[in-house]
Amino acid sequence: KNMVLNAIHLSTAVHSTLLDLPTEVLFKILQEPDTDQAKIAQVSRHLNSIVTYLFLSSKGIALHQNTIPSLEINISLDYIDNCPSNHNTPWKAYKRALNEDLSILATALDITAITHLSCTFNPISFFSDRAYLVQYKTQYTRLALLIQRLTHANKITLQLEQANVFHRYRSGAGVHDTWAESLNLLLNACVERGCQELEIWNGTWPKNDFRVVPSSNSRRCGYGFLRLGLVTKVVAKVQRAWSSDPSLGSVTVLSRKSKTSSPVWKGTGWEIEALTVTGPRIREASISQLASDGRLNISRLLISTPSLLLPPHSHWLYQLFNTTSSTLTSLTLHKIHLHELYWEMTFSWMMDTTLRASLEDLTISTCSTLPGNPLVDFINRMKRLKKLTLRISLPEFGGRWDFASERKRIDLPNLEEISAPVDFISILTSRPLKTQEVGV
Amino acid sequence: MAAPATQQIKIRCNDEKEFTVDRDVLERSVLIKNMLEDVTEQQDAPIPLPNVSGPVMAKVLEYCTHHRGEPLPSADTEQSQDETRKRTTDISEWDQKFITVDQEMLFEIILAANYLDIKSLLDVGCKTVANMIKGKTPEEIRKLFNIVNDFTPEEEAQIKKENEWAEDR
Repeated sequence: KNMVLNAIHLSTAVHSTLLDLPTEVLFKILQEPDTDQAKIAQVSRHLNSIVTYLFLSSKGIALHQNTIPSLEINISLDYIDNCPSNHNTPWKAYKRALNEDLSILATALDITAITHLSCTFNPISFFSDRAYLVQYKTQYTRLALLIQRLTHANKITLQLEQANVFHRYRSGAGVHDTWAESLNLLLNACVERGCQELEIWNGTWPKNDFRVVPSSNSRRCGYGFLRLGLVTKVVAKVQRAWSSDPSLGSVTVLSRKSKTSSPVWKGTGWEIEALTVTGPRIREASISQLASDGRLNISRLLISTPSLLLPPHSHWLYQLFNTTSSTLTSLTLHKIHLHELYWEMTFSWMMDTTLRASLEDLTISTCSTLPGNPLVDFINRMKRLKKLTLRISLPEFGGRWDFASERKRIDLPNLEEISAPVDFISILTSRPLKTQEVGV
Repeated sequence: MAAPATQQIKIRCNDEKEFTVDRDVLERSVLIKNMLEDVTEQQDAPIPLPNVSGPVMAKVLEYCTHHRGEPLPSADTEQSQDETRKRTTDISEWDQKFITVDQEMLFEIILAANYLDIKSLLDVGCKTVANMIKGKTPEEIRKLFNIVNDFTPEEEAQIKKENEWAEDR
């Protein structure tokens, strides 16, 4: 028995500091309720590794693993006491939630093994004033800084908040700016990190799609997405009727000067592979300038502003098409809602451009009815058209032209009449709510 | 078979200091309890406790004597014990007074409680340390426990950068 007792003999040296405590005792101390682990992680390397270990093991991950395949963290958008409602208050005025995942992860020294980071933003329940946006900014920024350190991350999933809070602020000046700016920062971090896959889930983006944001910040919000050209896959899951819109993954804008704050189509000497033209306040001069720049080499174009297709803007677009049509292979008319009559006009002027010789991929998404016969005429002019995608959703987006009588029917082009060399047609309509994939 | 409560047990600490203690007091320590259960015949030789010094053992015995007779936490109650711990960080008044010692003694008591497997004493010690840490900045924690900041300047800058967004200043 004495031998057994002696076997438990440990060092009898004098212990006098916290760090001399055995690790299991430190675990116990750190797991006491209300212990701010993130703060303790900043004390020393030893404590840092213990906090990291505890955190990862709470997520079911062993620290010795060389790669951490997937890590899910929760980010609190909650704010605690004494939160002033003035949005100009410095972020520092806001207290951080204790033991919050992001805080701990942000202090962890060795987290480069994470290959897939999945973040869930938890909304606050009652308060939703401007201070809330401060939280957005704070947490998005912190997450962005964290992502910049994840050298092995190739996939990032962001579950943005579920609650439908944002629509309340549509009219609030500056609100969207703050939000869009923060989101941008986050997206840019993902792109800069070389992340290959970015998955975004969101239930609150205004106007169905994150490219469609109020004019004041469209470029800012778009900035992140402009640079998504570097990301090979974007899965955007927006909880609306357009959730399966595949064009989100195909819009690519590569620009040498993408860091500039000016709109993408302004300026000369840009190498633009693809272009997104969006926002209701497109300045004619910008498009005019773009159209007159012979050096442009645009291969894909996305237009999401109905007025651009109508006079007087259509004049500039007409010019643009004729300038770049030798290279323009993909055209997306994104969520354009026009009266049938105006669709007819649009198809007719577009037919006259040299688009007909180069276009290979045409996508039209709309929430108004499409005139069947003019559309078929337009399609049949395309001598190289390979892929045709139509998205028509009537009840979800009752636009101003969407009269009750029109709602009852969706005029689809008669596929028999298509003579263009299309080998893939995808039609998604809201009525019936099914995708009809027809191989021609 | 439990021995009569009056049975006296001798223990010897690493500084040769010996104590003669009632068996039920000593049995607060799961380590000693198991040892005593394993020993069938009466032994006169003191139990050696090479990890505990005399002064620390005296403190531990003071605690055990005060709490003698209280039910020991069994493996079954571990779960609910944890829940209780989560609900409150309160330390009873007597325990609080008992644990008001200098830092070195506090850590010695924690180590002894860990070694002797006295769960309730370990809890009191850990809670006390956790309370000492509460509300302090990393720098204050270093100062308090005499911990050297061994981060490289780069690491520190990186950690600071991310957390300055969350400082409650």
